[in-house]
Amino acid sequence: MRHREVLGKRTEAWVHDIDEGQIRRFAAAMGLADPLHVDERLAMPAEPGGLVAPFSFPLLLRSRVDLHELFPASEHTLVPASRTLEVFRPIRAGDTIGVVGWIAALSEQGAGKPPVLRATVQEEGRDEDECLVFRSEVTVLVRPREGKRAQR
Amino acid sequence: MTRVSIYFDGVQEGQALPPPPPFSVDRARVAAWADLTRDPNPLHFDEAYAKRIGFPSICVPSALVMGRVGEWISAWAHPGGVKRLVARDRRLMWPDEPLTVAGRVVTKRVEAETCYVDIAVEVHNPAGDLVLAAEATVWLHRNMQEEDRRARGLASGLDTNPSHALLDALDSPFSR
Repeated sequence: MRHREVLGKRTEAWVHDIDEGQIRRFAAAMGLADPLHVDERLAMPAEPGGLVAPFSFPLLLRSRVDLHELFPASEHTLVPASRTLEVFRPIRAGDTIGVVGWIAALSEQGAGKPPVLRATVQEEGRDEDECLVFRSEVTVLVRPREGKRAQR
Repeated sequence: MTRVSIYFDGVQEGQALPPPPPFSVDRARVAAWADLTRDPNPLHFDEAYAKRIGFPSICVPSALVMGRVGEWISAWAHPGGVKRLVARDRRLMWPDEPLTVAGRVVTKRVEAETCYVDIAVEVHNPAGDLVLAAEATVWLHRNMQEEDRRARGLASGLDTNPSHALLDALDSPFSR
């Protein structure tokens, strides 16, 4: 099977410095109007810390795993199949989160030549104390493009 | 901002969550999302590419819809919070099509003194097709008294249960 050599190789951490602008832009892109995520005066009346990010904010924090580099769009279509997000503590503005990723599984699906691949990427985000902040898993179907398939 | 509080004791298995209004995702929002997430998939921002490979238009990133579902459940679970969310893509979603979301409580359980509720969510397109199926696990306070007791215990330093410390950390953004 193609690309078996990349399985399980952990990337270097992509370090994300979380700022209030990112949280506000994320909330706006999601269509969230909750002032908890856009107004720090409401977000932190009782304790120190920056604006609180919405639960799904880690969807924004990527690792250095790039399936599009491995499977270029000129030859493949990548279609999402499933995604899991597990959050262990809220993220706030001012946090620094390092995200490490790896391709956890690659399998062939169907009888096409070349076959559709099923690729699963796992990622972990940790804070500066190395505490786990979130964990995610994304599975993508990698379909060879018809034109390219005919050329092979 | 007034929020309704949900407690474990008041939740029943099979209970439907109050549905959010149908929503659609327009091209501007898809573009903003692709830009924000540095999404390299041209299927989400390159109309010509999408048509070249046989799709009617760019498609809506399912992560965006998953996020909307997560935030809807997060708002419902107040003063608890979402612990885990799994979303499975069933069909591609297209810009501007109204999506309807429905969710119900599947199971209630207590693990290590923490109350969890599992929720099943379905997102349908206007044709009635299931486009996204999700499962969420949320944690809830058992009742208002437990919420107060825990808040007092944490304030006095008497509550040293690590799972409660975790809950408090998760709780903080949603409890005020």
